[in-house]
Amino acid sequence: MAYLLSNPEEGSYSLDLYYIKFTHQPTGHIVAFPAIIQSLSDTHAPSFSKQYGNDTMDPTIILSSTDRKLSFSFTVLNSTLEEARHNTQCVNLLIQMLYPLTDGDGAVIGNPYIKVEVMNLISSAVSSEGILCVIDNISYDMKLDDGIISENKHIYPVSLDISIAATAVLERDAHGETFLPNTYPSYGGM
Amino acid sequence: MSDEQHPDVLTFGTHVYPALKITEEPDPQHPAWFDPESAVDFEYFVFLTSFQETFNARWEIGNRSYGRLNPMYYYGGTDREASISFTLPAMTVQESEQNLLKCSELSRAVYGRYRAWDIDPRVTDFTMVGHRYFRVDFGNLIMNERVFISSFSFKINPEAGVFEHDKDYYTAEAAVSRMDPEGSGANPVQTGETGNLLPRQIDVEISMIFRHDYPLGFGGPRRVGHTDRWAANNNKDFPHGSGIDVQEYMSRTFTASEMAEVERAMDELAERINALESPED
Repeated sequence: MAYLLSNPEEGSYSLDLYYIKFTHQPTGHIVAFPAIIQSLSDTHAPSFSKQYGNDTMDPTIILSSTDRKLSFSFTVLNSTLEEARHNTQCVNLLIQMLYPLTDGDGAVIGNPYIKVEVMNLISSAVSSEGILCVIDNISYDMKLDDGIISENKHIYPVSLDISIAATAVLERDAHGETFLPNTYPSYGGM
Repeated sequence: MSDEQHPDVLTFGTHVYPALKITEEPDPQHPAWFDPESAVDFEYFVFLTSFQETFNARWEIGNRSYGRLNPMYYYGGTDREASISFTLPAMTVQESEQNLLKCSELSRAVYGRYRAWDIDPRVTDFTMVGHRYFRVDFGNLIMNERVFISSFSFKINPEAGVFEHDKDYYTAEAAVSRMDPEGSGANPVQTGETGNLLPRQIDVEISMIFRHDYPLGFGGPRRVGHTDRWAANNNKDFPHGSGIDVQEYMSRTFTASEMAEVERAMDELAERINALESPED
């Protein structure tokens, strides 16, 4: 299992306190980045239908399910060539997490579910880990106006934005009394 | 590589900056239809203005019965697409002409391939035989990958200006001045041809869809017994080169056939050692 930390020399500050962590569920690989968050949104969208009666003004609502869509972006900063090279491998691992586990014949045996943890904002209601997600897409955008580090015909951006859109897999508390944990969803706070 | 690019650009590119290489390849199913004469072969130093890549996982969401928390998610694969924008500046007429020539060549990348249809010798007809296949290399960002080029956009920047026509370009005086031993042999900022608009700056945007020719994911046929390792097993970073040794999970391991070969060689070696240790006499 690989455990890569982006900007490790800042680990005591950024990764212990402010971090974004991704765990590839089929393989257990982990990569974490300092939480230089540019945007974060979490949408809880119920699916429901409305039925109207002849003698009522307001509809009867029939809820069928609720989906949770996560969308966030963060910046990866490279201040030195060594840092840029290491961070390239960290971003590579994050991108590779979108690919599945396959068997000896190339058939998919482990879908690329990813556990996402963004401190208290995206965290599990029943454990200290993140939320299992289906990642719809990852966008990699080099901020070329901030400059590049170039060495031996390799280009590394000083700054790059990673944007992620995901659907949360709703969690169940195996030991709880309710189907959906009472504390779900949770953003922390007192 | 073009010699018409500015010497500073060439010097910088040769030593530090990667060239963008877009090379057309034969159709794997119909290699005989490939015409090297008309194939796109673009290799140029470009001023990168934007590099964006998206990785889209294809998930199909199954039906969800009433009250069920989550639907079934069916994974279908991951698409990789890139969009690159770059500027082609020109400091001389020759460089501007070269830029236009290169753009002409690159713009052909999004058109299909055709071949003559010779059923009836009296009629010349053509039929489309499919899209063009390309291999793109751009430093550590795109590492010799097979792609389909899905869009090409060409835009001149009028603000940057154009090269002017000089009506006296072909006069004897002008020709003598261009023969100045300290000059380049050509008037760098004026052209004698009329009717040609030579822009000083061209902005280009191309998009591509990757079609990797090696396995992606973890485990797989090249990693039997190593399910947590990257499937390609080629000791290379994916998708972007880091310039340092790969992480252990990316490093090369023996494939099943290589392992069988090693075991066979070990057995042979053991037999020979046994034969040496216990000679028949």
